[in-house]
Amino acid sequence: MKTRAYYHSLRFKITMGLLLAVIAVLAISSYLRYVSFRDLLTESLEHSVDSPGEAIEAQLAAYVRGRVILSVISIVVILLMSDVLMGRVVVGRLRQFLGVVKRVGDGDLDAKVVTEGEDEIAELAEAFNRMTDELQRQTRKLSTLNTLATTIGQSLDLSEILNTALDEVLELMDVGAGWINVQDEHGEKMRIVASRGLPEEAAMAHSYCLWNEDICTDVLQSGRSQVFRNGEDHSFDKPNAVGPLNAVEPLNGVEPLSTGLCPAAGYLQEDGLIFHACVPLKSKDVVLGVMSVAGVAASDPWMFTEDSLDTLTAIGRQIGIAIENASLYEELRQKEVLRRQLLEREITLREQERKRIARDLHDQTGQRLTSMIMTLSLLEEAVPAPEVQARVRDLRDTAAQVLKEVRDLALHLRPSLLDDLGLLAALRHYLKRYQNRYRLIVDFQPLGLDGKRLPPDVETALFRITQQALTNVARHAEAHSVTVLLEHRGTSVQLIVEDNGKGFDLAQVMDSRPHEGNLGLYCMRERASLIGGTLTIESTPGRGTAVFVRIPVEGGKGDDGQDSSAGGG
Amino acid sequence: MMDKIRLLVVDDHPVVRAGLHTLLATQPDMEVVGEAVDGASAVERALELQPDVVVMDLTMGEMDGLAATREIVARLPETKVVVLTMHANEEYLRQALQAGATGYVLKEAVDTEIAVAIRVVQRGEVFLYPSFTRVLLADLVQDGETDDRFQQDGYERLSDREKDVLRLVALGDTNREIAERLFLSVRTVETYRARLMEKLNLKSRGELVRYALRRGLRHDEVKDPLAGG
Repeated sequence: MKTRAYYHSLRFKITMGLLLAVIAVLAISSYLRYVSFRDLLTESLEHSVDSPGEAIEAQLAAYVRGRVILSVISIVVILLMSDVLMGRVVVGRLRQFLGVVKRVGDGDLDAKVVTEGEDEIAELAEAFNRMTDELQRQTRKLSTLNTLATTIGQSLDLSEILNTALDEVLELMDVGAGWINVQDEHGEKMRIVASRGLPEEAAMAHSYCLWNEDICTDVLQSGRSQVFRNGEDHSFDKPNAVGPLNAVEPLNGVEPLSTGLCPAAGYLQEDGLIFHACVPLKSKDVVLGVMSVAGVAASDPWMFTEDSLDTLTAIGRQIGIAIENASLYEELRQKEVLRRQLLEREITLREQERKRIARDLHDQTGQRLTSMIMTLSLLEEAVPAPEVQARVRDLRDTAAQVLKEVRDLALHLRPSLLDDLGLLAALRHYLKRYQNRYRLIVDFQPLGLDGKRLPPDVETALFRITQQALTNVARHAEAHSVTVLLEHRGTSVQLIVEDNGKGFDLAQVMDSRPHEGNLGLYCMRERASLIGGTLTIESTPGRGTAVFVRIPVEGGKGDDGQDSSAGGG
Repeated sequence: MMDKIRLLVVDDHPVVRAGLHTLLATQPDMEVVGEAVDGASAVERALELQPDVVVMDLTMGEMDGLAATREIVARLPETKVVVLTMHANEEYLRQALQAGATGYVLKEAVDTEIAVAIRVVQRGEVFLYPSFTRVLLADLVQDGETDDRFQQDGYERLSDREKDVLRLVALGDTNREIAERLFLSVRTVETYRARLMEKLNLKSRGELVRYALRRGLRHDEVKDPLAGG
């Protein structure tokens, strides 16, 4: 309305101004015409006395007609000019407005329309400016929420998640104090696991029973966000619940608690607590904890709105999910640790057991058989009857055969070589037997290991991995030859077992879950990782398979440059 | 009649010692002059008795049969050592021979071979369990074969890239690692490798590594600008 009045007054002023100017021009020109007309009149009166009345009438009529036409033309011109001028003024402002709208549309939220005057355009401009301010605030909020989601989503460390989240929330909400409670493992007490802006004693001593009647406990138990403000508390059982914050009535039929602040907030009362908001940290409808923010009069004059509670509740949900993820991850991690420990124990025990049995076979059974052979041999010569002699001879041979078998059994369980003479000797021996058994050409190339012993667990693991890898080659590879490289260089030992067989599609075999076909590969990998090493397999169909094992070992006794000494020359 | 061969029997198992005692007592030219139950006491008794031949078990609790053999041979040049063991494998044989033993008898053949072995080593000759001789010969023949293969050399015919791949394969890098270091695809590395092995007439990774060693290529790693500090 104002704009229209303004517009009218403006048009009026312009029209009047133009009219005055035209009237002045007309007055002057009329006067000049009058002067000339008077002369003319006098002259004609002197010359024609016959009909003076007719002549005057004719002259006057012509004069009046001229006046009228001139006036009409002037008024039309004036009206046209005032419209053009009006248009200039209004369109110019609208154009500036449009420019700002375009800039805002392009994302420049700092662009502001200049507001002057009191008309509708100015009002519109003010409304527009308010809108961009709000937009700017919302954008900031969303970007903070996004940052928050990203930050807490990236971490799987609970303490890091909670502290980061709290910092972000306080910054977003623009308040000075906040804390996060979680239930203890017994579900009986709440304790603060992260806090900002709380007096030290509040943060330290804040562990209280869950049957306390305060809003934190209520939020934990009910899963509803709550705000305590100016001595009253207000519940919202859903984030978008409407209703003024200072309403005393329960919302949606939910009775607000008649209880007080939670203990931590109580510490802030002296500083002039204005509000204390509590939101649940939920994941899949399970409340895992409570996040609180509190504002005090001195530093947070800002009022907590329902909108803020919505935002806070939304953040609470995100944190809840992050907590859930972190605890699932932690559970998984612990299980993995346990699994590794069990596996390591299992492997160690098995090796020890095999070693013990092999030794027993060797020492006890073997020696008794040896003694038996000698005795039977003596007996054979001592008995005179050829028949009995032959029987004893058979017994002696059987004993020798059993001794061989016992020895092979012991070797199979765990080669004593590995303990007595080391990995190199054990591998050499194993490879020779393997080569004979499977009719494969085995090329064994040790480097940098002459006279060196590696730690027993490394030797055992490398021996077992080699065994496994070679068993795989014999069973699946259809290879003609296989190379076994064992090199100690610097601070690591590398084992490479490479065959020239048919190869396989590694991704296909290793991506599937462990089954009988790829279990051997998984076992080798586990074995390597248990002693801190890595195992890589490369295979291309038609080009064979290579297994690379790298195990870190204590830096050998210096001479790394000597690694060529074992070469063919 | 000539002097009997004076024997020291070393074994940690009483049944074996007793058996050996009985067995050797039937040999008219031999005489067991002492026994020992482990390496340390074996050295002690040997120094004391100065036997002609020591019959030595290798595995005695902690395996010190080898150490004892080394010590005895070093300190008593006239005394010979026959190893009597369950270990039917050339790794122990190698170790035993290096330690200075000149006889090696398996326990499963103790009754038929120990007396023979004692007489042979006493004469200053070597007695090995017959099947081992074959193994040793095979080793010798094989080594000779592998060595000859590298005489012809096509290194100069390799492209720079092939030389790079050769060096890195010899150093034990995986194809993926080589690909990353040389900014090539894994497939290309495989191709280079197959081609260079054909040019150099190398049949396996083992041969490739030995070739690189002979050529001193593995030491180039310090000069490799991509290897970093």
